[in-house]
Amino acid sequence: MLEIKNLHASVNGSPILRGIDLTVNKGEVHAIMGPNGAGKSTLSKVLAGSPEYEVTEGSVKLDGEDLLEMEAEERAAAGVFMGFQYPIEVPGVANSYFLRKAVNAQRKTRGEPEASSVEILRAMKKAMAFLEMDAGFRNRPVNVGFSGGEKKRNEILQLLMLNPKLALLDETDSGLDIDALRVVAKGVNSLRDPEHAFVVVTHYQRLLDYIVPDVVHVLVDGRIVHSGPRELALWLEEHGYGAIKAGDAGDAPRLEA
Amino acid sequence: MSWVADLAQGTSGVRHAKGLAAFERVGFPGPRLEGWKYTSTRSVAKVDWVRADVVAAAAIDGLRLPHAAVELVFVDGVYQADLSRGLDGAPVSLEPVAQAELQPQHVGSEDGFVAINDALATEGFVLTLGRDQVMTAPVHLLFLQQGGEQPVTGQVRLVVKAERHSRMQLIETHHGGEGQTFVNELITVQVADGAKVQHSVMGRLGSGQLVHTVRAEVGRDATYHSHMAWLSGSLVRSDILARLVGQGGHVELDGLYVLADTDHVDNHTVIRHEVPNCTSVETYKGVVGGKARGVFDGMVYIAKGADGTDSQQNNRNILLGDHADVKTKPTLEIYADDVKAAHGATVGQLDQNQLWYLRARGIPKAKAEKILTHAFVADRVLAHPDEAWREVLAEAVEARLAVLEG
Repeated sequence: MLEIKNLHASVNGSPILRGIDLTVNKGEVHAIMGPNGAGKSTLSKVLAGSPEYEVTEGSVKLDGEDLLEMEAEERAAAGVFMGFQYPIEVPGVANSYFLRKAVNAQRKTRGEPEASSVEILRAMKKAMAFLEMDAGFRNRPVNVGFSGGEKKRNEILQLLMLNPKLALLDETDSGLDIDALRVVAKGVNSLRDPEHAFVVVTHYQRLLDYIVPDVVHVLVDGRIVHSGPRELALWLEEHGYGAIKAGDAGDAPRLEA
Repeated sequence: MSWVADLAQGTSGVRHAKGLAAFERVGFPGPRLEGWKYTSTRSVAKVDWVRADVVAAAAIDGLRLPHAAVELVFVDGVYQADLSRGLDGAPVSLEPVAQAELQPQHVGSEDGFVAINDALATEGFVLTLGRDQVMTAPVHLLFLQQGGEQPVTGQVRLVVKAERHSRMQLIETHHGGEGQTFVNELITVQVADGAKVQHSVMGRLGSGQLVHTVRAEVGRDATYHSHMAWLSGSLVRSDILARLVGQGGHVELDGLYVLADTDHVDNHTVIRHEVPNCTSVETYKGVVGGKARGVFDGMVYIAKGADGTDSQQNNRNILLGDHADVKTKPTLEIYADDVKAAHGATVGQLDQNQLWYLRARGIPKAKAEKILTHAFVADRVLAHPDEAWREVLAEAVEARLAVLEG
């Protein structure tokens, strides 16, 4: 589904990604781990089309289509969703209005008929109940005054409503207590099936107890330096990034060739 | 000789004479005055205006407010009795200004337009709401500038008296078209102890010109809430002086302006805290595009002895395009102790992070910009407590934003 080859990206002229190769198939969950400043967040933002970054080399294909040629809104309509590490507050725009506009903008771009307000509202109510969100969040301005956990739940609400092929979750676990983490994971796991794929960016392995990955990648200095099975995350928690960073993965679990 | 002296011929009475004398002394305000730095009055000064007359008919049906208790209609500044309604049995008493012995309320005798109004105004009313009276429906002052073959001007004078513990809602709508017109309105508002006045103004003036001067005086535990919405006008000067003269008084000034084409709107406000323990909140927001200019010049003055004052003032602007222009100048003068006062102003583009967030969810850039621009001014519409008025306002704001966005 997602094919990244030799991806280089920089911000204000300084390179952050220095040659990422990554293939994610339908139905898979990939975790990206790594020390601070390795470029984990950059990777998901570049894939989602953030105007902050400049791609200097490489290619990214989504189901064979050139993702890098698309505007951010086109990527969203094509099925790419990024859950923000720091969801943006949008005063004056009600959550329900925002979701309605987003759902229908994507449908329009894809050439599908728009959904009625009633349909969208019904879906929203259902998703909010599932995510244990108070109905009052429907009419509140997007993320304004939400706690950290409420913002992340709101991201997952958008995820469920937009139902993307590929979800990039950027440090979704940061700042979450255990209850919020459980609910967020429940939302993500409800979408897991042979058609959906996930790239979960995280600093800690804790999230991966809830969203169990098929593959774990270690990102260091803008490159994926090691890939392994789910057990790699546990190994990393025990041993840290030091050895892998120094180029010596030792007995770290690795993917079988 | 200026048109002011011309038109003053035929008026009589002390106010007119004093006004003319004051005007001859101060003249039209010019760029030498700090408060008029950003607005030229040439398009008013250099025209041979004639007085408008009572009209046979005017296209005002779509401009009426169905929920108003009283509707007073002025065309080019001239009161139209036949078009007005709700005067019989109105809870508010109305007395024509021409017959009332007016004590000039204005502080600014050095203000050229107040002087012109003194010299020339024959149109208008004294509106009095008696003690403890609570009006649930608004008084609507409907102003239409329709013009004629010659450039026409009207001078309107209104005195609003809300007696103790009364509650009044006043809505002014100013509509213009393509004619060459100029209305100079002076409205004094006296909010007695414990009373509350909600004063809303919407201007869609087109090529019309308006100088709108408010002089409000707010008593003990009284509230004056002004809500201004300027949605077009070749020259609009909105001048407010609100004085807090009784303890526990509250002044709230809300404003929004959405300007396109060659609109010019100059908001000039002064809140004077003259006694202790009063509060004031001022929030003006503007979206300015095309070749328009928006001005916010807001002063909060906290006099010696006005201890325990709490005041907030804020002006935020979004500029669209390279030819629009905003001048903002919030000022604070404090001579009292134990005061809480905050003020600030911003002029900028749409928030890029918000734009990116909307686009990341699939909303195309142009649509996202539109949503964010609407959201920026929407909270000023929501700041109005009257739902029926909010609906009218929201529709008008929407229409103006549509022009701005092309």
